[in-house]
Amino acid sequence: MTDDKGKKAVAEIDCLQAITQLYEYLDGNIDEESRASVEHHLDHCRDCFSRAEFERALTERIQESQKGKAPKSLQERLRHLIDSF
Amino acid sequence: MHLAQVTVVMRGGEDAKAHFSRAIEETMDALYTVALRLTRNGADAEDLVAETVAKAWAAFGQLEDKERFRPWIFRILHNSFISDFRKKKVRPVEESDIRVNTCGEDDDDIFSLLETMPHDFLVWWGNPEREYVNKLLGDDIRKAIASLPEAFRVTVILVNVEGLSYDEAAEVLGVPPGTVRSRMKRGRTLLQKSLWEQATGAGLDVSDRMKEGIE
Repeated sequence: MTDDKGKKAVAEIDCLQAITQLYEYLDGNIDEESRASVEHHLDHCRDCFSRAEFERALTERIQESQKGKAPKSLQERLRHLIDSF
Repeated sequence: MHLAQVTVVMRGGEDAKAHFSRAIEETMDALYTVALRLTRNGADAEDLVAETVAKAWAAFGQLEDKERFRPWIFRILHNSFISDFRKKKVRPVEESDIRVNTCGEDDDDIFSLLETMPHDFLVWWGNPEREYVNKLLGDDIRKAIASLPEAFRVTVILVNVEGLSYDEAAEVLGVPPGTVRSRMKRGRTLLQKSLWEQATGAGLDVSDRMKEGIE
């Protein structure tokens, strides 16, 4: 489907459809057409935009709180292990 | 012939052992992060990563596309945990093990903090600039993650923390991509429910935090 300028028209979706696809959208696991529809909806719906922003912020907090660093003891152990191969 | 005796020439003239060593250096932190979320014990996590690296080297010659090293080694780690490690685990869990009541994989009940909590609280909650509060909330999130059932916990970590695609996470976990999709939805719902229970539960008063945030 294309509009009068020859651009591909974005399929309009409602709030339920947008929220159903929200995690796939935020996680970047969505096809191009669905991504355009979700973005179009978020641009026009304040409630869903707020929900998306909150979910995005929560994901960032999860990343910050969970990113770990291998302890020195493990780093040394793995280097010795690989040297022994 | 033992694999260590095989010199596979990699792209750029790098041999297999050098390539493997570099790939481990690059994924070591991520492997430990996932192992820690699976075992919930630092010493067990180190053992699991070491076991994974040994198995990965033994099978490295079979990995045709070296660009897919990351999902491939995560799969070895997950399989090692399922097949060997969980059975012989003797050390106690170090993180709190708060269980959320509803944890069915097919449960469609969606819980959203945004719909449950006052907007002002969420604005305060999402503010990353206050160090003390930030630390406190980091602990809240760690407890909430630790409270997730294993299948949801590892899926959320692989996708949201380690940045794997749904297809890659499905490959790691040996499940269809649709299962990863539903686990992500359910895992995030359970996580928000757990955060809500912590916020309204023992010792935490949402209204006090909200007042503090607004002042």
